[in-house]
Amino acid sequence: MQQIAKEKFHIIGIQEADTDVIARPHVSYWRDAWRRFRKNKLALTAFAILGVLVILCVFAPVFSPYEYETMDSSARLSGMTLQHPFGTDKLGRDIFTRVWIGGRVSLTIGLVGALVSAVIGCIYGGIAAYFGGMVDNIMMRIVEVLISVPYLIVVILMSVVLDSKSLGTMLLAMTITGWCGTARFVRAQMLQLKSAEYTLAAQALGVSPWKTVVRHFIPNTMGVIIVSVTFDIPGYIFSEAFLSYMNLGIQPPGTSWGVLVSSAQSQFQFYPNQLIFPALMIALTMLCFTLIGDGLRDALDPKDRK
Amino acid sequence: MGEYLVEAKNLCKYFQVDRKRTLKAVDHVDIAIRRGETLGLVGESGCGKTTCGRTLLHLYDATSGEIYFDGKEISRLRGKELLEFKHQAQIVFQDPYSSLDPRMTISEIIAEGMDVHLKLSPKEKNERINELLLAVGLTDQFANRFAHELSGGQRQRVGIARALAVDPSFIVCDEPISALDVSIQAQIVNLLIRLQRERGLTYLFISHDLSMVKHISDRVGVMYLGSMVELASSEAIFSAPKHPYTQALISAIPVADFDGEESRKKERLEGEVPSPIDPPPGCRFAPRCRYATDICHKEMPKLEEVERGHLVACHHCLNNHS
Amino acid sequence: MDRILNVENLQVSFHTYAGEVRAVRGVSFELGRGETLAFVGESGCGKTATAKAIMRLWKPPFVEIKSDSVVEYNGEDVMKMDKKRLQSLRGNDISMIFQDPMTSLNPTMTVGKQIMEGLQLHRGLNKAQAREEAINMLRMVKIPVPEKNVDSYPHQLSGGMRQRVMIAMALACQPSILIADEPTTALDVTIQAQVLDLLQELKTQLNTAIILVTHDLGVIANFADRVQVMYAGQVVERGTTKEIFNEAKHPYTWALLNSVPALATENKQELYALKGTPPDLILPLNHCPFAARCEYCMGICREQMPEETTLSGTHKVSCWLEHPNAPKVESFYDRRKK
Repeated sequence: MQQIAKEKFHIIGIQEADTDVIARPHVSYWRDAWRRFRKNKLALTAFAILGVLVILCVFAPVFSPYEYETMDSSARLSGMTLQHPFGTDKLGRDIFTRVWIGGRVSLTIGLVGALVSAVIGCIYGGIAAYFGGMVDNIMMRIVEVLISVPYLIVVILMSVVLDSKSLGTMLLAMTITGWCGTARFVRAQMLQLKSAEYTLAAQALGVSPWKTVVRHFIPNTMGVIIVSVTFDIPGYIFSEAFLSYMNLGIQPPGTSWGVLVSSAQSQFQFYPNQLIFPALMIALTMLCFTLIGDGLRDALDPKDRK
Repeated sequence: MGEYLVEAKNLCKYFQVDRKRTLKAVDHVDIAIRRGETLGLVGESGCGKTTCGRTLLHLYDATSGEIYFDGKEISRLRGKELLEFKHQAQIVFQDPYSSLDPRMTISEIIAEGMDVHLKLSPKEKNERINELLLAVGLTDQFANRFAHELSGGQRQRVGIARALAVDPSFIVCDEPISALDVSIQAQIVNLLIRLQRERGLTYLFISHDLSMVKHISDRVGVMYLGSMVELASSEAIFSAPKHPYTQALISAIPVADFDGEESRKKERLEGEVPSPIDPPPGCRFAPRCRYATDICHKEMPKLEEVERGHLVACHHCLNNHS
Repeated sequence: MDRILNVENLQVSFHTYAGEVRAVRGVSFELGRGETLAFVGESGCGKTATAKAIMRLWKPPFVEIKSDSVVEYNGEDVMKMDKKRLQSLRGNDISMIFQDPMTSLNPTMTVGKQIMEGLQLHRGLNKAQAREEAINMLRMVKIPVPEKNVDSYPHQLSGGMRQRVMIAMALACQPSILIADEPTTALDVTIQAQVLDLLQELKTQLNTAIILVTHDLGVIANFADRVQVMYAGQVVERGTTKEIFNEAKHPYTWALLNSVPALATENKQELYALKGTPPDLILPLNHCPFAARCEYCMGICREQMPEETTLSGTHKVSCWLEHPNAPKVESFYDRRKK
């Protein structure tokens, strides 16, 4: 056996300082989520592409030499040239400018639509879950009725009744039933939290219902709600494109990606560039939001935190 | 001031499973807890011990029966008086993982009750949080951490600190050690005993771990399928159990003692706990009981005092069958 | 003794964002035919990680079994087995039961079908034979009315019954080793006693070796032949059950034995409790892992890893207190006598 100095064998016992130290670094929820999101290269790329698209939508029309509604009869149906990178349409309007202006409309509809339905859905679902019993029963039956109404009918009715086909009308028409899904989802989440032991602890401490909602329910559902909103955005963008394509949406001279695709389709065989660019934007934006949603879900889901 | 701090008479808590079926989680239970004592409540899962604890704290509304806290009937309390009751009676939960909000820091969790009951300045609040952390054996370095950064034992200490924050006189400890490792269990039990001594707390200690219950309790109640079958001092329950169920329960405890093991008499129960939904009339334990006779299947025995301070609900316990 | 399993220097690591967590740090042991070996320790001490590594149930890349680990089943290197041999090893030779039977039973299949699956795959029985055998297995684990219950779904059975079904499934192909990972932790005491009795009975009947992973010393006293006490991914003490319960030498074993109140101890008397928590396995450890919580800790304990000292043919302990220069300390037994 090796020689070890005798004094090493004095009992020193427990030194308080050694026990109960936390070895791992302090990570808050959001920072940890960001760390996981950063690791997801696909979501990060999607985020970057989306960022570029948004910047172009905001700034490209400002710096473009053409106005989106200015017709130029000398440059009708131009192909892709240096002056008109995406070409022009049959009225001689610059498609490059029109795509970014249309993008503003499409993205606004996507973001605002998803946000509005998230807010309504959260409040509605939250109330249903919190009160439970009869209130919950009635509120959820109403949601089921609303969900079963085909939204195309709602949109057509709205545009007839309000006699307008503006951005606002379309948002109204789409969100009027769009929040139902979120409401159901939020209700399920809240019901889960309602039976959590920390909610019971708050109840035992006499914390008021309002404070319980603000302190426990909202922070704990925030993550999943953000994910659900992100996944809703592409749905709204697509709905807008679809409605405009059906001529139920934005009317000329206003434009959106859907309108651009719709007006380009008649000359598709001869001038494919008119269709490809707006269609590409729709596809790209939807894909990006879906990928970001995936990344966020993995990053925000507390179940597999390690 | 009466002898008892908490008293429940004929306490019932039923859950409606569907239109026809009722789950009788707690069925006509009488409980009385003296000031400063620890009453242990044992039984297997589904016997209603957790429901019983939560009903006593008014977290569930009792189906029928009366609960008195400090002489006041709690189901009639409203507003200020109800808040005062919550100030006095607290709970510590079983699962230290789900009982702490994952989005709150430890100091926010502990401060939650203080914000409701004590009007403190931010400085006083901080001092009190640090004081409480020290009292439960943690340091202030934990104050800004989140629950998931702590180990199970540390989380349970936070759960105890949260309950202590409002200076309660009565704490329901709902299986506070079941989810913890053995060496950590001993830490928590020591902590609970120390806090009781220092602050004169009254505990209702719910657990399925009989040796820990015996260790911490002055008196022990044994529950089976929603009813109390035996209630006595903890020595009496373990040295001279009278109800056949208690006897089987005690003989089933695996004892960490190599020599004693073989000599100990083993009594095994056949079958499993039946469903508490619409139980048959008569003694709940009758279908598994080796001493059961006709009367056991027909009539529910009453909890009666057979010796001083030793209550048993059994038709046959007077015939000495042990 | 007929040796059936040999494990040497087993090392398992989990790769997490914060770094490498070395969950098992060089565990060695062997297992004889028909013997019951218990792994005891607290959560996170590496007992389950060790058990799962024996069957190579860990999947890379998040979990890594280090390449110099040796696991030999009947002289055959488990680490080098191909997929096919590994599959027949799991089930035919070694099988496992888990703490929560619900996670390992398929909820959409009747229990009979699930038992038959293994029988048909590993023992080549036809459907009728397999069903017959499944009913026999259920009878063996004392499921009431096996002819009827063979067609029930897991959710129709109670917790104790499910655990019996798990045992029946695990033993269906008569493996020579059964790994039981906390088999009774989720069960109530009276049911736990039933299941342990059953395992004991089957073990003598089938001569199966059992590796019992548990944190409950009470279960071990009843059940195991040999015990291995684990702490922070290492074996700190090993010996026959009698040696561990009556002549333990490691302060951690003392603490474990002491922290359970005996039915005879006086009420509300302070229980012996370890201070602090086990070390985070993400940290490197080059000294005794228990040093920080040990009341007999010496200077050397914080500097060097103790070597395993052999006390008898079966009893070994890794502690500096066994060094000839170390002071004699009053052990837990002396203290308990007072």
